Amino acid sequence: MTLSQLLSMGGYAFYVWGSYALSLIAMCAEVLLLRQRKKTLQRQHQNLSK
Amino acid sequence: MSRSKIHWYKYASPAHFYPLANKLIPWVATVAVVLFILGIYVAFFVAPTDFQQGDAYRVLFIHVPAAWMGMFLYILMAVYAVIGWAFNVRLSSMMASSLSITGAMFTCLALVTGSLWGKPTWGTWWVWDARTTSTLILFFLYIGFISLQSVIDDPRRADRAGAVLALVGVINVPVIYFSVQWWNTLHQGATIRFLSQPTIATRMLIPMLVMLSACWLYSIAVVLIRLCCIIVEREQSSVSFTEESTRENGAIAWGADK
Repeated sequence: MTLSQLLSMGGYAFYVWGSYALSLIAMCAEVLLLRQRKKTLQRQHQNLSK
Repeated sequence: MSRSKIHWYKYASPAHFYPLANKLIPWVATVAVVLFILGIYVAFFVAPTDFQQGDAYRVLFIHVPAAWMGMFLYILMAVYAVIGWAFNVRLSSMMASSLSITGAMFTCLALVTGSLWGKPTWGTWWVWDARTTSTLILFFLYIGFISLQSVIDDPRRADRAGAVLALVGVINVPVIYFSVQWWNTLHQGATIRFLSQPTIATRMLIPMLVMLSACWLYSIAVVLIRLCCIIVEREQSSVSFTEESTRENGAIAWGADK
């Protein structure tokens, strides 16, 4: 498969790459939100132990 | 991942779970990322173009694992919720809460990617056929579970209410699974079955299974991290509550850690 074939996906680029992009965004968003939640907890914990 | 400052184990009822989980999570997450990359490579460079659906079918390498995860995680969530309810195991209920978010995320992805696949192959973004409708119901069950837990202040009451909802909703999972056999639907039948040969080319089956394993490992990592957070959040609120009541009543707080 050449690069242009890969990018055009036989004319279905929007649907194929769109679904992979959305999946990537959804998973990254979940991980980032979770990281934030953990950081908030760690901050609270440090304040408590002061 | 930096070493956590929180002593997770202090809050856990099975005291050895947390050091283990903290050690496990980076490994699971790394393998998940590697498998995602490998799965995408195989899905785009090894799997041949489908002669009916063209390249549009490559959406299915993420759509099908996401839909499976939505169903698996729902069953897991219901089992944990019911164990937590029936045997009064707090950790089990917390696991159910943790699973619900990731399950909802995967079900949402299944619906959205299904829509992106349906447009070029069926010519429509959405149809009200048995499988899509029951998957939408699954998504609403997750949302119901999450919102029910967030509106009830007392966590144990929230757990019980959630467990009832999760248990009733479990009936929907076999409906999704068998919907393509029970009803005459637009959605294509299963190509991978438990008891018979898959009706799918091996070069198309392998990326599907690699992506599924990646999704599993991703879920394990994310759910474990969230479980740690939930435990600390809940135990912290009970800790601060006992401190407050100690100050107010001058009484010895029951169930305090030390």
